[in-house]
Amino acid sequence: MSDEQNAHVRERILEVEKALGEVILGKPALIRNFMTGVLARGHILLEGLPGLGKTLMVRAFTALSGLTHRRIQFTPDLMHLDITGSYILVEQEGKGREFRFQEGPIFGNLILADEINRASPKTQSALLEAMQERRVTVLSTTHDLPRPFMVMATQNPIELEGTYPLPEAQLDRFLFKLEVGDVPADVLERLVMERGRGDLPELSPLLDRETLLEAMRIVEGLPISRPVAAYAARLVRGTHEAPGVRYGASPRAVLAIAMAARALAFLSNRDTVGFEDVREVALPALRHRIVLDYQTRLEGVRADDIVEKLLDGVDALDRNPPSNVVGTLS
Amino acid sequence: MADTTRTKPTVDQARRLVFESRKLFNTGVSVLRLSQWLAVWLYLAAGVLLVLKVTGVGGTARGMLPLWIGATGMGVVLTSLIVSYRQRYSMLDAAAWLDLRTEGGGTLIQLVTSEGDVRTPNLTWDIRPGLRYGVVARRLILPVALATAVVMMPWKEGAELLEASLDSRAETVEKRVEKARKLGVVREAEARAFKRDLERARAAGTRSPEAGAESIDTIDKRLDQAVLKRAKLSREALDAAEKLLAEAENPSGPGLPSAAAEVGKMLDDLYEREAQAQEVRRLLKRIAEKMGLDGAATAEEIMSSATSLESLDAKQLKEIARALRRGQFTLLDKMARSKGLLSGKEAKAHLATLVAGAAKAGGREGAGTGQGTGGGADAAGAGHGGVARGPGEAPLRFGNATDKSKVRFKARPFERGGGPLPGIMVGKRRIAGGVAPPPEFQTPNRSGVVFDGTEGGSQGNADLGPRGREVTRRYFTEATSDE
Repeated sequence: MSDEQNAHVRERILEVEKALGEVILGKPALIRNFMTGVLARGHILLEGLPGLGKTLMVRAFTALSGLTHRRIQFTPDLMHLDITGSYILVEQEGKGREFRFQEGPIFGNLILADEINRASPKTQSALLEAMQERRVTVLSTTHDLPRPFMVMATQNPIELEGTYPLPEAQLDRFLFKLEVGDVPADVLERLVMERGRGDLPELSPLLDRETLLEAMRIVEGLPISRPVAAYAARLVRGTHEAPGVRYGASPRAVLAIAMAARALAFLSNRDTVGFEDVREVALPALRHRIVLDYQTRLEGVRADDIVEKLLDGVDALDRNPPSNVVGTLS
Repeated sequence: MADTTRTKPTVDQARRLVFESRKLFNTGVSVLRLSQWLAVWLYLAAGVLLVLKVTGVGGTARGMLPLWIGATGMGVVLTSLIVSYRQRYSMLDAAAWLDLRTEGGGTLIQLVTSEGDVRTPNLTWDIRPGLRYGVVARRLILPVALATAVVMMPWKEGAELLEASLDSRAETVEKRVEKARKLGVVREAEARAFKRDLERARAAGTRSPEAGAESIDTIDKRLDQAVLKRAKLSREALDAAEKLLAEAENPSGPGLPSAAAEVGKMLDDLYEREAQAQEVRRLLKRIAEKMGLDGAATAEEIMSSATSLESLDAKQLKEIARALRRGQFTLLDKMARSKGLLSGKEAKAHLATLVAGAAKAGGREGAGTGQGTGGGADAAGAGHGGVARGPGEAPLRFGNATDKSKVRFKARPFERGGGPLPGIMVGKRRIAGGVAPPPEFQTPNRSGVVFDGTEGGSQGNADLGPRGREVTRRYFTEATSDE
């Protein structure tokens, strides 16, 4: 693909990002990470207090991207087959009765798994195969999911009653865990002035499925150099050696970092992946993959703290020139 | 300071930057490693030296120390150079570092890993890494200072060390004795005596190292004195030869017999030294045969007889004088060149003074000593400097011939009724003072000349050298003619 075509695709993606910024006010970094996750074909877990716009952001992206989307409201009584779909007995005239597979809401390009931690682990596990292999198996029959397939899940971190923490196996399948933070006062003021009842502004698709797939292909084709890959690897390896960590990030984490770094480089109008890209995506890619030990959790240390320490402590280069011989920049 | 403007360099510029940076990194590492090794080695050498100096133990370690320091130092430098030469940073390493520092977003890395065109946006292009030699130098300051301080520290002469060093010192002195013997500076008998004394000192050292050391020091000084004595004699012989040559220019002059006699005395000494005396011995033998003086016991007798019989002409005297000068100059030259012949600084300085005078004398005449650069070997080569001069040519200027009127010992008539005062120099002899004349001659005459008391007592009989006698004779002759 020529540079002009690449530029065109990038431009369309950036338009979507800009439009998202008009919907979710005051969260450019969150939106950049969200778009990065999308371009990396990753699933995204959005965590934040109620009312911060998690669901709104996914809905807005759905509206802007032109993808087929489904929404699954996770409730305690939601069943496995409610997600994947199941065989139902259908009677047809002249043909008798037969079992036909009725697709569940998982069959869509963009799945909004709202309040994902309110369903039981048995139900949540319905997503495991879908998220990793992009297909579902029901009664020994495997059904492919449409491309692209992305799960955008939201969860509330403070309510414990009636919720089930996501199992590590499922958390690991999310490319990013994005934390939706507080909204500053000026943004709140702007909300009051512009949004009235809080309805989603009218959005029309700025993107189609093919363009998005093309962008994803470009991202996949971006080269990542050995020193940058080595940096990502050292970061992931560092999660295993950091104090207070019971289980470090899996190899899936380093692949996630690499893919996300490519996507970020693409969004930053670069053809190559740099160390800064890795640093930018390391936190959302690693924070949900680290399991802290009990003592550390009691001390109030969060996985974010561990990752930030790693980013400060791990050298980007595995072979630094001697700083006391080579001077700083002139 | 840094100009942080961002420019868009060409691919070639960026690649060149990576290449230069890689070279810099590898050089920097080499320099750093070398300084590290040197610092460690300096600490180690200083530590070992410190232990040896403070404790006074180590036996022969003191003697071996320069060898050990030299060998290990050379080893350290060579090893670190070999180790440091290894290239540690590849182009990719350098590119990654530059990319990180310029926030290049992988562009510079891509430059060195791909052949095709790469976009180079937003590079901070003013990057100029440089070697900080000051850091390396600071790293070496402390070990160098420590090593210097330890080197300046005095040795503690532990009993063991002193005893161990006695042998070494005795061997050194023995070598010097042997050297002096070979040069002919000390006679065979003297050399044997020195060696015998050294053996005794060694034996004494086994019982009391301090006593042994003192004995060896004494022998050392005696050897210096013997060498200097010989150098002084050689110098005097040179002077005598010079004088004889000067007097021989005027055979009828009164100083010739005296100068010849002086040379005779000097020649006596040469008989003892075969190496330097061959030419003179040959000449004297010839003279003795010619004069029928085969039985003459000494060279002085031969010369004295030769001059008194006037059987030697000025040319022959010159020949002898030149041979003498050549021999003595050669000896002085060898003494000056012989390293370690003397131990004391003062003795060396004294020898240098004597040799410098000899060199001057040799250069003036250009008589040729066969010593290459020493002494102006011949007329053509005159001006090449004496033995005390450094290498290279040093022009000497020669003026007119010496004015005869400025000959050192010029005949001068005494005042009437007087004579040379006691202590006055006549020729090279000092008139013995305090010889009291008989009471009847207690007159204003304070010449110190002893008269025989005969009538008219114009005939003097003083204990004077030939030259002095001549002066006295002339004085009285002239005084008589005046009357």
